[in-house]
Amino acid sequence: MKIPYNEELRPDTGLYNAKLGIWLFLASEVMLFGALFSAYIMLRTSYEYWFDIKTILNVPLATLNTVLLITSSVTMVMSWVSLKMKDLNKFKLYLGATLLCSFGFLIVKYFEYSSKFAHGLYPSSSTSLACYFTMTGLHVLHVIGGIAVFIYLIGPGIKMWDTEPERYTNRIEVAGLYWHFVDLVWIFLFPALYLL
Amino acid sequence: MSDNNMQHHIKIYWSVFAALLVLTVLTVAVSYIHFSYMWLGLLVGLIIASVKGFLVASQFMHLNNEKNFIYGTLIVTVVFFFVLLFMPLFWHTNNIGYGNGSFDEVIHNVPEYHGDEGH
Amino acid sequence: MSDSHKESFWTKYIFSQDHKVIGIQYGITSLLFMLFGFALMIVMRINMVYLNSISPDLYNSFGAMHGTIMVFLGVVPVIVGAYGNYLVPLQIGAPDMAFPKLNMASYWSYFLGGVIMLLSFALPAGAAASGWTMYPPLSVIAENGETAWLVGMIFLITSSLLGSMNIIVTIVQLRVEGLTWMRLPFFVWAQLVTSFLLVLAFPPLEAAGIFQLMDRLAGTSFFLPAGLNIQGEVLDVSGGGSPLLWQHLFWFLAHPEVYVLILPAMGIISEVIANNIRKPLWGYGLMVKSVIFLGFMSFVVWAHHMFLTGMGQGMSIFFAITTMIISVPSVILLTCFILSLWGGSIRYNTPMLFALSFIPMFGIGGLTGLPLGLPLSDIPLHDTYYVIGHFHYVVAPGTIFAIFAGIYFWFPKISGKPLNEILGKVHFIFSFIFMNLFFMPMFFQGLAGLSRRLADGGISYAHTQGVIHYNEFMMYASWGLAIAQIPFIVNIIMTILKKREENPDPNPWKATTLEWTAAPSPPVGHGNFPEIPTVYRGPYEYSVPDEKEDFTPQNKS
Repeated sequence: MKIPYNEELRPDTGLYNAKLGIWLFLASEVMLFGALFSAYIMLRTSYEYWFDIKTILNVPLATLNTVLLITSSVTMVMSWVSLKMKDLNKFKLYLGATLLCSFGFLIVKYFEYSSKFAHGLYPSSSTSLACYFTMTGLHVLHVIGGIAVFIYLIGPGIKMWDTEPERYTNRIEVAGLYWHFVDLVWIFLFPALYLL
Repeated sequence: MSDNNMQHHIKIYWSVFAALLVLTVLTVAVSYIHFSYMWLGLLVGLIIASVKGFLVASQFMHLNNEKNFIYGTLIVTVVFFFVLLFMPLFWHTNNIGYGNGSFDEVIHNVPEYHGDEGH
Repeated sequence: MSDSHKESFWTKYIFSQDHKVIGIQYGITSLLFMLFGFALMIVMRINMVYLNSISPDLYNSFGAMHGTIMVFLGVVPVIVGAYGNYLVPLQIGAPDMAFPKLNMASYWSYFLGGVIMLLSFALPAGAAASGWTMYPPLSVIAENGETAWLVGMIFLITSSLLGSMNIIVTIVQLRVEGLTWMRLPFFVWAQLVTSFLLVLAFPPLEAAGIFQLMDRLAGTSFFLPAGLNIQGEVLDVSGGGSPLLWQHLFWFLAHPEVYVLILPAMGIISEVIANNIRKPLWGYGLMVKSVIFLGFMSFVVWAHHMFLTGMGQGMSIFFAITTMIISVPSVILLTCFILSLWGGSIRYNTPMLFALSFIPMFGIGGLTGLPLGLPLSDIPLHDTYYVIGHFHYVVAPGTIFAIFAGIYFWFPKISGKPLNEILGKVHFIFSFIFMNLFFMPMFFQGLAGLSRRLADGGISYAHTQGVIHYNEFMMYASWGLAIAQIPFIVNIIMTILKKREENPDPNPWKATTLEWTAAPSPPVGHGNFPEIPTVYRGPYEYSVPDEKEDFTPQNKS
């Protein structure tokens, strides 16, 4: 019993199932992070003693993180391109680079958080810090989720390249869409929390 | 996708990467400028972030040649996103458009009540 | 990938990826949760008459969990998880849902969330007791099971997101050839719009749940204002938060959630009515446009639950206007149902009786919502029993009657055996009577000003003395309602245990939609249709002139 349009495109919509699925998921994620940003705006504009965390946040580290994520985004799309051109080795290289950059992001985040804790700055210290930790924390959870998916795809999941290469390529595309969204969120999180 | 087509796309991806790096530097640089109005700084920051976001969405996520159903879903999502985002800012508005719809100022020149006056 | 006959009992019936098994799993689990939530209400009603049968704190937790269980563990999982999963692939001619593994994950996530919610009763301080709305600061400082509630909700929201995403992709991508958008049964349209509501509206509540978990567990102050004074002591938190923030994020979901509660029910009613009037539904195209418009509008009315929070008049005018506008598509849908009846050859079987009674019951529920949607009249009515009467009329003799109608209607398809009609009609008549006897007095109590969520039923307030006698009356009505469900439960058990007759009729109601062309009780794991159908006509071609039968199936060329 085969589910139609898992790989082939349905003629009237021009989509395969997983692509529509991932965009719907991303739409829900837009609403999730939208709610976080909305809360941030509401809390920041309504509290007169809002503590400006710009002064205690490490902008150079966060800029490094931004560069890491942007790099991981381009290596992700290049890995998909390599698969489209049937070059498995290049694909592994690029996906590996993506993984490297994302681990780098996590390591930088680890240093950021631990230095805050070392200075006695916790989410409970002020609402601005609470917002910072929660928003970046949820973003980190999404990065970890992405990493888990990549490890599966480059690990046990790579067997599908031999049996169903087109379906595997679609999986990489879908994972890539998720990853670009994670990057997109950071592109807005970075100025909102660290710069504005 | 044919090979030539793919080469063209590859060039685009790397150009977008370069552009994103430049815009990131710009974002940080702009944050050091002291704007005369606070909202101006906010706006500039948001615009640069939106340009970066647009590049990622249209080029990396291939949104610029995506199908209608996806566009429709995303447009609806974005509308609700803006409703959720900006509604708290208007929470204490007392008027629609211009005017002073707040209660204190609406009722004026109300004649004093003198009772039946014996009628 | 192909039929695997190596399936064990576990993979075939427990960890199944077949949408029919998952639909039945959702159905059984959610109906059991609804029974539990119903039992909570019975105890609450007894406590309002025989005061202090349970402690006020326990009463509060029963109240909060009754609402939570009925909405999130009962009604939505049955109308979306059970009805949606079981029927949508069948009605569009698909072999299964688009993502069978995700479907299974969504059920087990729901199950886990439900178990967590139930287990919260066993916590030392009991289950959550801050209302199903969980308003801070109370919900943050309360020592009851609010944390368990929040964790359970995260599982439930995950389940909902996975399930609704699956339904949308299934409907868009897996329709068979010839099944164009305007030939879809209205039930499928209702499920499509409902799933969009679930995909876009739940995430803000997830964000709010995370914030509240942080407040309770990590000591943050997302919802706690500075200087909060609790019994003389200022709370030692950083402050700077806003209780209103929770209300916004909660109601941003919870308002679309009530449309999630009603739209699939209207979908069920459409199918039952169209089938039992032996003519097409009046205004199908209008109904489709209305339901899409309704879905869109449902996102911009949420603050009508917050008229008493001190919002500016500009905002209250905005939300009052949108609330009035949203009543229009609901009325259009109901009117199309009513107009469909004109000139129909109405068959009064059990599903049709429930479907017909839905119309006036939803009418009462909807009309009583109007004073609540206007800020001025909402001021005396907010947080009174009037609100409880209003929303129960829409959900209880509204959605739940639609659920009953659907069970009687589709049981022969699911099991190959029809439910007993006499028991069904007894179930209907007594449910209808006791529903009205139970919920109607709530309006009188609310108009007198009797507040919600009072463990003593309001007897300690002077202004309620004129309406307090209804509490005893309603307690007896609730017992009547409970007893009225016995024929239903007996009917189901009896029919399940009955032996199936040889070659049951796959289409006993003589209906036109695609699920009736599948075998009675379609086989698990082997695809739904012996051969993939092609659709040639609309969904409600009843009494087509020059046709031999009074119904023409969609796949008849």
